[in-house]
Parts: sequence; structure tokens; C-alpha cells
Amino acid sequence: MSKTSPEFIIVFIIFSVLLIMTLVVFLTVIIYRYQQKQNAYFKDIETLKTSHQNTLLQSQLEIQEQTFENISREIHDNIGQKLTLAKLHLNTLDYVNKEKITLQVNDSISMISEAINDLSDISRSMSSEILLNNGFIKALEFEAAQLQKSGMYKISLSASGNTIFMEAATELVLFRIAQEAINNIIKHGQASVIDIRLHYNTVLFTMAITDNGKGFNIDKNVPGTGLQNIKKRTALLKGTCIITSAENNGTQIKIEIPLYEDNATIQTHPGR
Amino acid sequence: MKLHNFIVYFGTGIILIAFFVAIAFTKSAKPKYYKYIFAVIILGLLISMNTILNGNFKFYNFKVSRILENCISLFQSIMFSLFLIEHLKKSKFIQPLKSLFYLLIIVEIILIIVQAINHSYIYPRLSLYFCIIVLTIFYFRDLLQNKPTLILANSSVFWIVTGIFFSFCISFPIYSLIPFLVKHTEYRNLRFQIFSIVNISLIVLYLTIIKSYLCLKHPQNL
Repeated sequence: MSKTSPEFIIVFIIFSVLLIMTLVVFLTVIIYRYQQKQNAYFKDIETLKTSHQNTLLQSQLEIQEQTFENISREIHDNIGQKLTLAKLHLNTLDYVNKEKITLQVNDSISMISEAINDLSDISRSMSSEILLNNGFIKALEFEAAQLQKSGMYKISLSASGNTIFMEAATELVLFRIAQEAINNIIKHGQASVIDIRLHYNTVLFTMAITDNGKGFNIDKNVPGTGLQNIKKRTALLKGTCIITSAENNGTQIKIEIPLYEDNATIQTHPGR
Repeated sequence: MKLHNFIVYFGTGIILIAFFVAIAFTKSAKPKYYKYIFAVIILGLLISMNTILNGNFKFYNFKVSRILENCISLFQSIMFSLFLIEHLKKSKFIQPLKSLFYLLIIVEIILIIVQAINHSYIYPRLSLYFCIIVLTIFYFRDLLQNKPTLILANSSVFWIVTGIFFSFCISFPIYSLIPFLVKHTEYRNLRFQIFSIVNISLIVLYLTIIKSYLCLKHPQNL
């Protein structure tokens, strides 16, 4: 058998060691760079989460502020008026005329009862208790029933797809969006029919609120505070808001919310 | 027992362990590409058996053993390539690499049929190995370019690709030595030691395969 040259063996060993070292270094560099990138990515996500939470908090404060404004306006314009009138009736009681007294007292009782009912409605409407206990759909059903009671609107509410219960904060923002849209219809829409449709699929939640009111020209009219609030709150949930309207042809507000990350944490609240 | 024989037996043991681990994980939910990896393990066992038979039993025909080894190695390379191709489906350059890969397979099959024991057969095999190395590099490139959401230590794909990359990067230059060893007979007695390095790299590959199976215990983020 021929003899192997020692130079060849040395060269071969050096080459093998170098090759293995190169491979190890290459893989280490890949892993190191990947870890660096991953750390930066997680840091970014953390920053985004914090910023999202801050915006959510800010929005909740705005909602609270607006709620106070609504309560104040409702008390001043509606309940305050009724109570003032009741007080006026009672102050001007004509003790001589028994018939008139009865009428005035009955009127006052009726006004005070109405004021109590209004207060109760406001309380229920502003409270998030029904939403937290029964979920978004039930809360919206209650809101629709309240509106139906006024006798001024024919309101329909339907939900399709597999209902997904979202984070309580997300549902609260969605509920306030629906309330804002309904308020807009009441204030400006001059509508008689309101249709609310909810649809859930695996990745997206859609809410469409349509009315048959006077509508408006989207290109000409600058969106008011209500619509701006709706858009802002939808953006907060990483969703999209599409407003379709034409003069004398009603308005549709369509909200689409992705059901992932923060929004789609499915809750298993026993009451829901 | 000689060192190179010990490495062969040790490697066979590792492949057997990989086989049993694969069997243990048969019923667990796993990504589609595990069918290729299971095939790789079976083919690895066949190569090992072929090597052991060839080294220990004189009745075993050397030529047949060589043809068998070439065929099984070809199938194994195909399995690795299919696994990588399935993984790099979305990569930009996958189409030309795929075409090149199919071309090389055809060339290799023809060469196995025509000149199975001729050393010139090594060039298409080297090209196939090169193609596999390129595919693994593309995997690493994608890994660094995509969203870094993967926990590497728990990623079964990462472990397998790392094993393939390591093993083929070592095998490639060593197989390139074959024509040289054939020409220079004075180095022929070194061939067992030289190919032991390839066997060690294959042991590393099967160890990464075992690790990748164990990664199935964790939720996979592929």
C-alpha cells in the first residue's frame, strides 16, 4: 500500500477545521442577527401596545366627557324642564278651585313620573353594566328597544355568523360607536326607519347602521363631531369606517373590525 | 474496532433512535413536510445497512452496494429538496431553483443507470448537493427578511434546515475529493477517515431531526 503524504493530512485537517468553524460562525451570525431583529420587533410591538392603550384610555376619557355632556344636556333640556313645569304647577295651585287643584296635581304627578322614567333611561343608556354583563348584542337590543318605545322610529336589529365575544373594552367602544350613530340619526337624520346589521366571520366583524333619513352630500358636507368620533373610535380598533350617503336617500355607516390580536380575545363570560 | 466502523455503527444507532422518535410522533399533529423527513430516516437506515453489509460480508457485491447507495442517496437528496422546496414556496427565486433541481435529478438518474460506479458520476451529485445548500441559504435569507416571530429553539424547520445545511456543507467539499482520491492512489487508504467526517456530519443531521420531532411538543410557528 502506498504511503499517504503528511502534508495532505495536515492540509486536510486544517481545511476541515476551517470549514466547520466557518459553518459554526455562519450559523451563529444568523442566529445572533435573528435574535437582534426579534428583540427589536418585540420592542416595537410593546411600544405599539403602550401607544394603543394610551389612545384607548384617551378615547375612553373622551367618551366619558361626552357622556357627561349628554347627561347634562338631557337633564337641562328634558328632565329639568319637566320638573320646573311640575314645580310651577304646584306653586300656582289654586286652593279655592278643587277641580283645578286635582288637574294641576295630576299633571305634576305625570310630569314627575316622566322625569323619573327619563332619568332611569339615561342611567341605563349611559351605564356599561348591561354591556359588561350581557355582551354587545344584548346591550344594542336594549338600546333599540328604548328607541322603539319612543314610537318615532321603526328599528330592526339582526346578527349573523358565529358570534364572537370581544374584549370588554372593544365592545364598549363598539357600543359607543353605535350609540353615536343612532344619536346622529335622531339629531340630524329625520329618519323613520333604522336598520342595524351585525355580521361575524372568523376574521372580521361588520356593523352596518342604515337609516332612511334626509342623508347628506358627502363631498360637500364636512363631517361633524359625531361622525369624526365614529371614525376615530373605529381607527382605535384598527377597523375601517365607510360612510355612504346621498341627499334624500338615507345614510349608511359601515364599520369593519378585524377579529385578531386585541379585538378578538374571545371571552367566556358565563352570562354572555 | 476501527474508528470509521465505530462511527458507522454509532450513526446507525442515532438513525434508529430518530426512527423510533418519528414512530412515537406518528399520531401527533405535525406539518406536512414530516412525510419527507420520515422518508429521509428510512432511506438513512437503508444506506447504513448497505454500508454495514458491504463492510462485513464478502458475499455482498461491491458493485450492487455502490448502485444501491447511489440510488438511495439520490432519493434522500430528492426528499431533502422537496422538503426545502415546500418550505420556500413563497420565495421569489424558487421557480428557477426548482427547474434546476428537476434537471439535476434527471441527469443523476441517467448517470446512475449509465455509469453507476464511475467516479465522474460525482459531479451531478455535487451539483444536487450545491442546489440543496442554495435552498437552505434561501431559507436563512427568508428567515432574516420575514417577521421575526419564530422562537428558533422551538422551530422544527429551523433545526432540520440547520442540520441539512451543516451536513451538506461538509459533505460537498469531501465528495469533491473523490476524483482526486481516485487519481492519486497514494491517498486511497485515507478514504475511510475522510468519509468518517461525512458520517459525523450525517449524525449531526439526524440529531437535528430528532430535535425537530421533539419541537412538535411546542406550538409550531412555521
